[in-house]
Amino acid sequence: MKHTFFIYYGIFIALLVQSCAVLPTCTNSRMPTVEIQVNNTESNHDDYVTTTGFISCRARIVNFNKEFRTGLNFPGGTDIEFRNKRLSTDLIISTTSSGTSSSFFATLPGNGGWFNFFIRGNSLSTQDKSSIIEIATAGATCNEVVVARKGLMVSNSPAPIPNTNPQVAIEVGSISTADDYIAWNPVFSRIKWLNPGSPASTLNVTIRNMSGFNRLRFALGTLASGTTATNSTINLTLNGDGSWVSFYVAGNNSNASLDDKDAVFEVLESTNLLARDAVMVRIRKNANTLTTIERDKYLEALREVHQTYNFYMLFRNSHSQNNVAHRQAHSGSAFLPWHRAFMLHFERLLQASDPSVALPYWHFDQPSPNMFNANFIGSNPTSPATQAIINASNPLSTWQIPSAALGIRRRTPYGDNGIPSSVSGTGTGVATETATLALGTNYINFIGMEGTIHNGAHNNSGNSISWVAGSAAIAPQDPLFYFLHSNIERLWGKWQWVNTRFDATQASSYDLQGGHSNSPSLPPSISPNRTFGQYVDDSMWPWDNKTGTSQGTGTLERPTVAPLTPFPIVLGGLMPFSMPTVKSTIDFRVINFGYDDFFPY
Amino acid sequence: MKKNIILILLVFSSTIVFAQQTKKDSILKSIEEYRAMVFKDASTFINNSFSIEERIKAIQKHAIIYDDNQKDQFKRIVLSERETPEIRAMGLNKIYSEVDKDEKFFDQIVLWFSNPKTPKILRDETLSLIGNLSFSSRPGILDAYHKMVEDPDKVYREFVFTKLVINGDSRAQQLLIKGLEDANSRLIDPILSILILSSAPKKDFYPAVYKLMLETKNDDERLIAIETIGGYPEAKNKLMSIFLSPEEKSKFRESALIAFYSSNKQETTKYLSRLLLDTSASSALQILVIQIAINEKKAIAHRKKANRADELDNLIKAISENKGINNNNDQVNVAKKYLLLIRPKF
Repeated sequence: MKHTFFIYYGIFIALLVQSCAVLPTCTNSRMPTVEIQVNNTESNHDDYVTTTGFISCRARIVNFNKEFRTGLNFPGGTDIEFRNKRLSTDLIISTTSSGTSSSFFATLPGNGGWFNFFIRGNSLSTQDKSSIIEIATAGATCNEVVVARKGLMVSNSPAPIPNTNPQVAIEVGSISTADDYIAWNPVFSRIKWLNPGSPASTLNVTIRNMSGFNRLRFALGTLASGTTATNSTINLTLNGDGSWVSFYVAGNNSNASLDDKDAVFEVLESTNLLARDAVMVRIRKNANTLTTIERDKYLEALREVHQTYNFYMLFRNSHSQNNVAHRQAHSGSAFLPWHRAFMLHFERLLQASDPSVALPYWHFDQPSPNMFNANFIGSNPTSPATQAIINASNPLSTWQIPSAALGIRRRTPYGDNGIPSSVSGTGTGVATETATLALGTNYINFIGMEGTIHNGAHNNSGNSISWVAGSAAIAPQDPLFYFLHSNIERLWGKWQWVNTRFDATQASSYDLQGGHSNSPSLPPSISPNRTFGQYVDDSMWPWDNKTGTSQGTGTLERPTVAPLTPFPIVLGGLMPFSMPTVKSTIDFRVINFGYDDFFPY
Repeated sequence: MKKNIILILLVFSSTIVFAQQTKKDSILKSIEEYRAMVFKDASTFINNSFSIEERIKAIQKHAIIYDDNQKDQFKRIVLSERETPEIRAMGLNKIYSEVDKDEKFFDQIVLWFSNPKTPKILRDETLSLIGNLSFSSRPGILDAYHKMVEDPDKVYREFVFTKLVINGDSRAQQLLIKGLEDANSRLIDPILSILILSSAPKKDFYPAVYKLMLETKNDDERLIAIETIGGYPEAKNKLMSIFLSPEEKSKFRESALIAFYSSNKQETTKYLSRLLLDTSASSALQILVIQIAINEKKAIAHRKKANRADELDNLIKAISENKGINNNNDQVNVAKKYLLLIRPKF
């Protein structure tokens, strides 16, 4: 009975996500959900390839039908690119069994039909599932969104799983691999037996981390709200009728992934290995501790978002297009929820470019020399120079903001190895994490962090001509902005965890309960808390696309445009909906992100 | 056996929950201890029977105070003329959040801030405070800023011009432009003026910055001008001549290339091969060329149309194989990255 419930629940969620998901880089465009099969089988026991021979593979669009079968979502098919994951050449990927290319363009049939292709190894994998077939959209518009990544292994040794073993199919999240990026929260998953002898037979299996990996935890049955998967091993019984059996998978506290598909789990029948599958425990990490690979992946994704596809300016403009926009995001109770949505939107755009990237944070009360250097966010210049020093080999070396000066304008009073001390005055600069968490146990106290911790971090991050310290309007011109705000986000998340403040219906979690009453006339020096978008049930600009001064009977005090609509919904990340409310941002644990320094359960 | 497994799982789960709770409790405890310490240190600061040094030393290390009663007492200290400027400045530093809640208090801060005769330590604290507030609740206190454009302290002039220009204040902008054109009317030096002007929403400073770029003999001024002038159509040819010229220093060529690129993205790609073939081009300049090539040719729209490798692809391939001009490791690595990201069809 319990399993049946989960099956229906899983199908419901999968259908909902597939029908709603939109391209983060292309508003109002539906994202194709793509399934890839290696060796043309649903099972991944045979996802192994040598460097000598090609194997057949296929891919198809799963969400090809419109809701209620009223037509096709992608009539004429979807243009895509098959390729290795970024900067990798592990695989030869070709439309023929004799090709030499590492990528090709094609059109996936719009009616859900399979597209056949071939792969062979070009170089040996470092570990199981580390070689990756990637599929990205490649239309005239809305392109270069990674919609699938399938991990496999290039090895010239015999494959570890015999064909004679029982075969299983596994789905983490949905059938797509685009949602195989998990955090600390439990992700609905399921498994079924593909080749049972008879409908009445059963197969007892164990799910566990692959030896040498300990990145995952599992759970069975119903998980209480606010809990996550914590078992290193689970045992299930699969049915001979081919029905799905559900389980949960979550990241193992303090053991986040270092690279894509490095969280490998396996399914065993007694000691017989039946399958291996891989996901990524994708967690926001301290920028100062990123590996070189993590750092470079972030910089390349940022390059693509800003330099190649020019989306970055939308974020700058939305942050504070003028004082009206400023009021939606600053000086009020919604400062933290608004920025949570803003940062998540930016992160999802980066992940459309590279799903294995997460927003790093700048722990601004600790020295971060690995971050403030010429290979990352930039090193401090010597006066009178004002541009952060960036090595030519860094993708940020060609950074320029239209209509502003080139480079990144930043001179830090604290050099490369300090923390933001006061630019002027007598103070200590930024508050420590403990001093921030000590602001109080209720939101109304903690929100004071905007004026003290947040403003202090900005103001002390650079001298007066530094973008990040200049004003809310120009601060996002410096990519450091996102590192700083990721830390603001982390501090709020940690405060929520420490004080158990995830319930949006409690004033202790968010002070302005209910909805805005649309005050009919507002004074020029309006308190931001009287504007629409500050109350817990309100939707937020710009994602709700409510613009202008007039709405219903009252006053919205909104900008005339909404540059970032709608909010991107992605597979595995339904929340906080395409039109986020304040409420939908409060419990970040269901939004599928987490931080490396605390486990919010 | 089954019971044992369940028991082990239960023990394991409760161990995790316990560890989590312990960690949380430990953080909560450290928060409480910290608040108690701040309370005690704030009490020392409030108590004027201690020496000035003792009072300052007690509170200096803390960014914020938490107790409402102590905040009121700090405010009284800040406003008290019987206290020394050092004490008042230090007190103010701990109660920034209170300033927004009290208009009279805020007005007093602005008075101190705008008056050059305010004791320096107290005035500098107001500068820090107003810089903080300008980020959210008080984006501009423009009247006060206007009165300070001739402030005797350069730091304050720089601050108010920056804030005025960011807020689109045309009067401040014109003062800076006039200063660029006429040395006798300069309120701040040209480099700083250009830096501030570059953040102005209105770009009417371009002609003055361009003129300075053409005429100045000062390398720093010229470099800042080049970095700022990319959006000025009249400067386009000059920027091009700079980044193409073997006679120019590399730092000028590099900046001119990016400045040109910022407003002429597609057109820039026409010059990339020429720069890679230029024996006078520095390694850094050639790496920038490859970076621009990645930015532009990475787009699907470009790659789908590129049926065969072009001259630029071949030049970069040669660099990746260490057969280019002036090759070094960074150049080779960026060239290899280009091939992986662009995937030209050779």
